[in-house]
Amino acid sequence: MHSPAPKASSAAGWQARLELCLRPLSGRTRLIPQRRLGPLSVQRPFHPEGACCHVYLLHPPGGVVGGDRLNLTVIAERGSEALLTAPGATKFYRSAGDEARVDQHFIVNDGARLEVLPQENIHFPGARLRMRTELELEPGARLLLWEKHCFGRPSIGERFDSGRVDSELRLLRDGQLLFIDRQRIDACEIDRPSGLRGLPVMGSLLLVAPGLDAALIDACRAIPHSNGLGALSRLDDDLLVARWLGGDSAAMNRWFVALWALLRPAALGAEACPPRIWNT
Amino acid sequence: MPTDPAALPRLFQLISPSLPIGAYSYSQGIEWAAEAGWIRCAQDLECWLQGLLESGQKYLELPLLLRLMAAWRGRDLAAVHRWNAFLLASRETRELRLEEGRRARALARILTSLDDGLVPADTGLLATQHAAYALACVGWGIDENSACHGLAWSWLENLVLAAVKILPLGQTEGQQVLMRLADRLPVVIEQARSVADDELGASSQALALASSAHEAQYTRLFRS
Repeated sequence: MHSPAPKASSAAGWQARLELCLRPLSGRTRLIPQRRLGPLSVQRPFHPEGACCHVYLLHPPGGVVGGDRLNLTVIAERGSEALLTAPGATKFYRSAGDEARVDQHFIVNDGARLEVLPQENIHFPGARLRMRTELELEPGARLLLWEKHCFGRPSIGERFDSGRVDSELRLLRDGQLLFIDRQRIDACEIDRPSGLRGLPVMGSLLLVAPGLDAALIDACRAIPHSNGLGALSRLDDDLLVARWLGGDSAAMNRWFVALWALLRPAALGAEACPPRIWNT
Repeated sequence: MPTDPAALPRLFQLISPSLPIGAYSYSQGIEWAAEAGWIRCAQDLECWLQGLLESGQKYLELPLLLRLMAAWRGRDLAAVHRWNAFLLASRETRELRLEEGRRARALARILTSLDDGLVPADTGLLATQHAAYALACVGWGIDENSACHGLAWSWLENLVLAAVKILPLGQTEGQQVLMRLADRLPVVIEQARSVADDELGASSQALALASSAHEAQYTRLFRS
């Protein structure tokens, strides 16, 4: 894994803001950019499977450092179908002091389907990040989201021996809090047997959709894993959370993609055609 | 205000494993962690529980207890509902959510039979064990610090008891683990008291995985 030299941290880092709206128009979901500020952008959206709009999010080139603030808002309007992903991992570099902040807000209206499938976040030793993800669903909204983290770079034996990642995800539907996941990761939590058990890679997948029956859950549980452990729990009739803990990102990605390939047809009513960018 | 000595037996009764709320039937993932080889001995158990003490207890369980006690004291029922929702949403797995609900209902039932005037008609207010426990502590004059020690102690004791049944671990070894972990409670409770609202919450990935995997474990004695 290679990376550019980390850029110098400054008290006033990037201030990036991007607001997107997904709207069905004459048989296809269109991307309507609402507002853009700073180095957070999207590639031209495309429609490889018909109605569903595929959007590639581009994070600041050269990664994120302390003091940077990224703010992403996505509104999936009623009847829209969209898949958000990214061409590469997001890198969070050592901070000289300030925290980097990432705030994401996904609003999914009744009858909309949104998939948020970014590549992993790579946290370099010394990175300090505060990440907030708010998922605001209307009744009848369907959502599949994953969030993947790699602490340090295991491929070169580098450990996340300093720094801190505080990541909170909140899921609300119809104003009711359904799920909170607050990860406070530092060297202590990585080493805790109840935490990351000394392993550098973790992730979670969250699915909100009807039709999560026992047979589907069993099929998901039968997906093989290597170099890590994956497990899932159906927290409610229409809420599934899958989690991973392991030694490298590739194994985690294989497991999540296999899971997605089962869940997408069963719960989102669409064939699983992996975005080509995942293969590169 | 310190706890009136006359109220202390009430606290002991609330946290006793003999209180019929079925606390003995939950292992919170330890049953699976033992099968997977994650927890094999007294030292593994101690490290597992210590990790949870320094994350979940410090950032979630104890701060939520304090907020629920304050809400009951101030008769702020909207806050009781709000913190219940927060706590339930923070339960990482299906089994941990079911456990919370079952223990809450069982505790509400026994409280009703012990002190009829204590329990409100709106049972939704007692959707979590913490809410019911907080109500009893406030109603019976148990102070915050003692209430925190009681809740954390009973959590530890129940899981050590579960581990003694699951692992090749003697009663005496279990008690030694319990005593060492109990020595850490004052520090954890002190830290929990200064956790701000926007700092609330701590998931533990291995706990969530163990509890998720426990749902599909072939042979199970425990309900979580």
